[in-house]
Amino acid sequence: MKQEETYFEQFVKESIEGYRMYPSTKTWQQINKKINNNLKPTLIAITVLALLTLFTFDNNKNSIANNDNLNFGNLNQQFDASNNNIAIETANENTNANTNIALTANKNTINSITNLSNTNISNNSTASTATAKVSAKAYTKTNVNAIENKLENKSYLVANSTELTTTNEGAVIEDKALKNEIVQLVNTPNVNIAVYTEDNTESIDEELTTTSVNKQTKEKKNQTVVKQTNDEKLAVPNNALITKENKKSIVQIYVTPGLSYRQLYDKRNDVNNIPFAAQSNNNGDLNASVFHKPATAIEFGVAWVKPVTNALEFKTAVQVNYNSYKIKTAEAQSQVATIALTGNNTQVNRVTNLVNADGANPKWIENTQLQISMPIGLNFLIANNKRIKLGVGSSIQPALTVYNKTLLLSTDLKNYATAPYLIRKIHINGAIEPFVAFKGKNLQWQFGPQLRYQFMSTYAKTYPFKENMFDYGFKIGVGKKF
Amino acid sequence: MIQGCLKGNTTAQQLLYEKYSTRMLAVCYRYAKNRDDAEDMLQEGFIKVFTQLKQYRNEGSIEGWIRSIMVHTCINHLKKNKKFKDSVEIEMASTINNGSHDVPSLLQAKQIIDCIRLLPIGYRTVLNLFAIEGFSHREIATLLDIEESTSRSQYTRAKVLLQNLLIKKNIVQATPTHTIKNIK
Repeated sequence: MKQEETYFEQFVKESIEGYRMYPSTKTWQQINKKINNNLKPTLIAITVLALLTLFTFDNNKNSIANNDNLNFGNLNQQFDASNNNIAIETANENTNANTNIALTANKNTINSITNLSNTNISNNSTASTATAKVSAKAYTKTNVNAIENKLENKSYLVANSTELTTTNEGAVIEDKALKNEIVQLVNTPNVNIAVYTEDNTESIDEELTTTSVNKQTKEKKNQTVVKQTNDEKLAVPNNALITKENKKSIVQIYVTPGLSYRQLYDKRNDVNNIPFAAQSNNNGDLNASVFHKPATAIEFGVAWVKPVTNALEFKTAVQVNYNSYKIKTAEAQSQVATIALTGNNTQVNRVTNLVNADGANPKWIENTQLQISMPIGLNFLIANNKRIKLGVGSSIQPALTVYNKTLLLSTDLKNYATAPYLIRKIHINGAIEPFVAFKGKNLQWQFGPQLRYQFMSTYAKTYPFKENMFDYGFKIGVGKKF
Repeated sequence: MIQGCLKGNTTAQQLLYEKYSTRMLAVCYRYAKNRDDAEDMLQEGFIKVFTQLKQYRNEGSIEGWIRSIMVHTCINHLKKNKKFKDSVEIEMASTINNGSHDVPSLLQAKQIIDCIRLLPIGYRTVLNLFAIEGFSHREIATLLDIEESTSRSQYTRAKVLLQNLLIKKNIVQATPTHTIKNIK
């Protein structure tokens, strides 16, 4: 009886021992999601980093100007004690295509201006022709626009000021209320402008506290003001100073149709104790054994381009990449394809009916992948004027493969089979793109060839072949300034 | 592969999963109410496997270690159901034909598993643990929070009931006891 029991238990145990059931793919996905949830923090970190970068760029444009040593040069600035005036200095459009207003005054000077704006001075002749250099180290778009609007919308200024200059037509602001408003606009923490004299800054500052200030302006396209006494000194290197029009951000939609290629590298030397090379096709020569053809590649995305200087633009985007290439195979009886993995003695066996053969009745299969990426990069502009922009763009593109239909070559090069877990999901791509952009009134069209390279292999590290994709395409983009 | 799993390598993890999930699902299926439950158990078990893999000391096979985790996961899963303990302790003498000592002469794994799954859950669990996983009745008693004697009686009844089920469903033919040796 005891023996019978033992038999029964052994019998049942051994009978069901080899029984297997295949779990649904959802089960692994859920397990993977739970044990590898570190992907989420990585993506969040990248996103936060990108947003932080954008925020920093946007928020610190004044700092950028400072760091680039932006300097309007030496401007002869007249302080006319006989006029209770504030004039706004602008760069001469004819001189240098600059349309920004440079606000003046360091902290002391701003205080001086504030004081002066409330002071009615008409008789301090001693400071009437004091000459100062004005170095505008920073400016804010908000203030510039606001002051311009003030000046444009109110028509009560404009009187020729022969005292300001004898060479240029000009007008000064005589309205005290307007002047106060402008002073308030000027007197903000973001404005940091130095005013100093050729001889003695302090003395001018002292004079400023008791006299009024003229800040000269150049005629732009409005009725406002004044004069430029030294055009040559206003000249600013084109690549250093960004114009008002050019500093607007561009939101661009683009598409890049093209062809996708791949580079294959053999890593089978890293496969331990599995002499596949000896039994492979074509003596194991990987590239001689496969029959691949380039196929469709396309990318589509939305980009945000932020000019940093007239010669440099920062850009980032959200982009979808699709690429593919064709594989010549032949159908055969189902057979086992063995993929030996590098670094250990593990191998993967997959059942397949596709053989790697250049037969008379080929079956073309496409390896495809779809990625979502977030390019971050720079455009280096060789030319940048009102109508046209010529440059070279480059970007690094962290990418996530969200879909793939990829056949893998067996280690003996004889079969193709699927093994989704040997496909790498996270990639880093790089792109370079010479381009020409045509600027319209509202839209900017961009055209140019592009090369995108996938730095990391399509496959997992342990797969004995390495594949790098590269796509040639022609990028067409249309953008709008904001 | 294990080193890769310990380093958090997804490929290694998936390889390990692919290698053992089919057998482990069959294990879970014997304890579970249905296939969905079995997959839940499998999922929970593999999460434990990956999170506790550093505790594996290379003593014994990795499959045995994984299987042990799976079985414990299944038991814990069952114990969450309040009715489970009751069903283990209920004696179903009236449904058992103690007079039969016939044993199956031809068994197919799937058919046996299906028959095991027809047993009341208490019987089934004890039978799985004793006959297939090799636990002692003392271990089963500890595992299921029952008396050792209960485990013994449950197993005896489960075994007889299983034999009857196999015969009743014409999966096997009743043959004299001594023929077991020949089958094996």
